[in-house]
Amino acid sequence: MANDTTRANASGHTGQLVGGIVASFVAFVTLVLVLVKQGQGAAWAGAQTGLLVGFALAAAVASWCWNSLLAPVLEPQEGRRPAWVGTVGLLAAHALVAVLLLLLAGAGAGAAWGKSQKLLAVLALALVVALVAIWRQPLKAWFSARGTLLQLNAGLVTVLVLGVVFLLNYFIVPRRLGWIKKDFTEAKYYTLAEQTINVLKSVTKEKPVELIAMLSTDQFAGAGSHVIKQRLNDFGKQSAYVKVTIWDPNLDYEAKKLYEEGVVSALPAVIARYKDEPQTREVVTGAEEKDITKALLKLLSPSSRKVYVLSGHGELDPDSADPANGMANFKTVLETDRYELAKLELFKQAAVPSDAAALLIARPKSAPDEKELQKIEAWLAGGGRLLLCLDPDDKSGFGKLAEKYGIVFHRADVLDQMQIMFGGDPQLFQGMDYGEHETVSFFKNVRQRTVFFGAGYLTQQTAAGDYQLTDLIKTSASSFAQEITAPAKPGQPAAQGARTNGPLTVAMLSSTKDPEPPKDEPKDAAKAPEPEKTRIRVAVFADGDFLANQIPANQFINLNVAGNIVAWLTDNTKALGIRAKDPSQDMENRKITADAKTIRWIVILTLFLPVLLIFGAGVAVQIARR
Amino acid sequence: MRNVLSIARRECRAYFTSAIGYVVMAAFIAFTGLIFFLIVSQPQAVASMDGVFRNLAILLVMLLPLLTMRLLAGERSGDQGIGTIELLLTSPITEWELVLGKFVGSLLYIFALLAVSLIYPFTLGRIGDPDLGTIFAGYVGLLFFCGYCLAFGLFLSSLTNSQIVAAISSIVGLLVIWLSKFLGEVGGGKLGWLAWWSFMDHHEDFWRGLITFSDCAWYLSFIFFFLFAAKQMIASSRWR
Repeated sequence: MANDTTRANASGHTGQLVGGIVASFVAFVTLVLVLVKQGQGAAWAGAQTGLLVGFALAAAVASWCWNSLLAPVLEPQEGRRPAWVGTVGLLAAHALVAVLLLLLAGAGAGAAWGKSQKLLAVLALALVVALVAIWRQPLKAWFSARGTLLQLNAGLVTVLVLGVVFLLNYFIVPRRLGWIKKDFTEAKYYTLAEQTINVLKSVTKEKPVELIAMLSTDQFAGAGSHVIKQRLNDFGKQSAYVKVTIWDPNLDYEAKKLYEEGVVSALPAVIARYKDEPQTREVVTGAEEKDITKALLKLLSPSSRKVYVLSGHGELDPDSADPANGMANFKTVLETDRYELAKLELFKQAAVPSDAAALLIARPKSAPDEKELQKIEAWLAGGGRLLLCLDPDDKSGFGKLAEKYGIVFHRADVLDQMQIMFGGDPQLFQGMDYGEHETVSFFKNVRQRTVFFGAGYLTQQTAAGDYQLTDLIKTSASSFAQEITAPAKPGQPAAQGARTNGPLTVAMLSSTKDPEPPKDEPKDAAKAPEPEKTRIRVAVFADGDFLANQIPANQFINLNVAGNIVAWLTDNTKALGIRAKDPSQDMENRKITADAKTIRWIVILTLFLPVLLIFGAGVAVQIARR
Repeated sequence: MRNVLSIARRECRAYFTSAIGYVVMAAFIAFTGLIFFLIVSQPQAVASMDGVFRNLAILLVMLLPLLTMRLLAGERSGDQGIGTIELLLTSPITEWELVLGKFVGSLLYIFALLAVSLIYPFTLGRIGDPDLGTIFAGYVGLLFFCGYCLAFGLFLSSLTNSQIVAAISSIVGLLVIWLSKFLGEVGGGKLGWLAWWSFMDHHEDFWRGLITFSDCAWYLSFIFFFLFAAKQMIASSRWR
C-alpha cells in the first residue's frame, strides 16, 4: 500500500516536472516570438496580443506545476497559506524574467531609454518586491541557516575571481602585453619583415603617420579580420610615431564617406596619411603586410622612379594585354611600386635618358644596331642598371652584352626529365631553388614558385673581373640542357648539340664589386664613398617570356621576383622582401600525392592498427583485473 | 605537492585500469584516424594537420566530459553508491590539493592521448613536407584547449552527485561556450563581446602556427578560475 502511494507520488512529481518544463519552454518561446515581431519593426497587432496572452497562460500552467513540486521546499510551514499564493509567486517570477528580457531586447536594439522602458523597470522592481514578500519566510530561513553566509561569501569570491579574470584578459593583457607572440610558421607569416620594420623606423617624430585599415568587422569578416587587426598592432608596436586605427564602413561615418566618394574602392584597404596633414594620403587595396608597407612607402617617398623599356626590336609591349606579346601585368606591378614606365626607341635618341633608373629589355626578337649597343654600354658604364630577358633561341645578340658583365648566356633548350617521364611539356618547369640573395631569399622560405615556358641557361664567366655574380634561380637536378647549334627554320626543330645536366641557372645577377679599402689607411665609415650610386647592375633571365602576361600571377611569382629585381637594380631595397606573404600559397606548395598503395598503408597504420592495439590493451587490462 | 602528485598518479592509473580510459582513447584515435585518412586521401591533399585539429576540437568537447564526470561526482556517489568524498575531506589534504591532483591526473592522461596522436604528423612527414612549427603550435593549442575542457568538466563534476548529470551538463556547457562565438559574430556590435568568452576565439592562432601571450593567458586564467570554483564548491560542502 505504502509502495503504491510512493509510486503514485513519484509519477505525479514526474508529470509536474515534465509539465513545468514544457509550459515554461512554451511561455518563453511565445515571448521570444513577441520580441522577434517587435524587432522586425511591425506595429502592435492582434498577433502580438495573442502571443502575450499565450505567454501568460503558459506561464500560469508552468507556475502551478512548479509550485506543486517546490511547495515543500518553499513553504516550510505547510498549510499556513493557500497553494495559489505560491503559484502567484512563481507567475510573478516568470513575469520578472519576461520584463527583464524585454528590457534587454530594448537595450540590445539600441533604443533610447524612453517611457515604456521606465515603466518596465518600475514593473520589474515591483515584481522583485512582490517575490520577496511572498517568500519572505523561506528566504529568512535560508539566510539564517548555518553555512549560508559562508556559501554566499564563497560565491561572491568566485564571482570576484571571474571579474578579475575578465578584466585581466579583456582589457589589460591584450592592450599591454598583446604584442608578445611567437611565430612558429616556417616562413614567419605572422612576423613583420625586416624591410617593413626599417620602413616603420624611418617615420619621424616631426611627421607622425596614421595607418587606417578599412575593413568589415561583422560576422562575414571571419578570421581574416582578426589576422589583419593583429598585423596592424604589430605595425603600431614598431614605431611610436605610427598610429593604427581600424574603420568599418558599416559603422564609422568617415569611413563610409570615403567609401562612397570612391577613395576606397574595395575592402579591405589601407590608408596611410600624415597625422597633421590628413589630406596627404596614400590608399592601397588589401591589408597584407606588403599592401600596408606599400602605402607607407608611397607616403614617405612620394617621388617615382623611371624605368625605360627598350622597344623597336620586337620586345614585349608594356602597354599590351596580349598574353604572349604584352607585359601590361608587370607594368601594373611596377606602377604600384611607384615606378613610371616609358618606352624607349633608342635609335632615335642620342643616349639613354639621364632620368632612367633602370633599362628593361624584355625578349628582343631582332638585333639592335651597333650604335644602340654602344649607347647602352656607355650608360651602363656610368652606373646604369639593366634587366634583360632573353629567349632560349635568342637571335638579338644581347647575350653578348650580358657577357661583358660576367654572365654567359647559352642558347639552349632546358628540358625537365620528370616532365618527359609523366608526359608533360618538357620545356615547362618550375623554379623553386633560389639563391642566397635579398631579392629571392624570402621566396625560398615560403616555397613559392616561378615558372618558365622554355628557357636557355646561364653560367658565370670564369674571369668575371670586377663583377660579383649571383645565381638567382636554378632548375632542378632532373633537368638538362640541349644546346641549340643552328637557328630553327620554319616547320623544323632547331638543331641540337651538346647536353648539359642540371641543375642549371636560369636567372643571374651581376654587380660591380665593392672597392677594397686601401690597406694602409684605417677604415673610416664617414670617408667611405657611396658605391651604390656608381655601381653597375645587370640582371638576366634566360627566358624571354618570364614577364609576359601569360604567366598566371595567382600561381607563380615571376612578376614578384622581377619586381624585387627592379627594386634591387634601382636601389629601392626598402621595398624588398615584403611581397606576397600568402599562407594559402604555401599550402599549395605542400601538396601530397599518395598513390593507392600508400593510402592503404595509411589506413592500416593510422586507423586500424592503433585502435586495435588500444582495444587489445583495454581487454587485457580488464581480464587481468578480474 | 606530494599530495597533489599522489592523487594525480592515482587518477591517471584509474584511467588506465578502467574501461572508460580505453574507450575514450580508442574513440579518439578512431575518429582522428578517420579524419586524417579522409584529408590525406583527397586528390589535392595538403601536408597539414589544420583539418585534423579543427575536427578534433568538437570530438574533444564530447569526449573530455566523459573523463571528468567521475572526478568529483564519482567521489560523492561512488561506483556502487558509496561516496569517498568524506574520507578525502577528513584526510590531511587541502581542497586545492584535491582539485589540482584530479586535474593533473586527467591532464597526464590527455598527454598520453595526444602522444598517441603524434602518429599523424609522423605519417604526414613520410608522405609530404608539413610545416612542423605550425603542427607544434597546434598541439600546444590543443593542450590548452584540453586543459580548459578538463577544468570546466571538473567544476561541473563538483556541482553534482550524478556522473551522468556532470557529463551532460559539461557537454552542453562547452557547446554553449563554443556557440557564444557565433552569437557574438552574428549579433555584431553590442553582442560582439560574447565571442571573447568562447575558446574558439582563442584557438585560431594556434592552428595558424602562432602562439600569443593573450591566448595563453586567457586559457590559463580560465583553467585557474574553473579549478578555483571547483575548490570553492568542495569547501562549501564542509559547511553543510
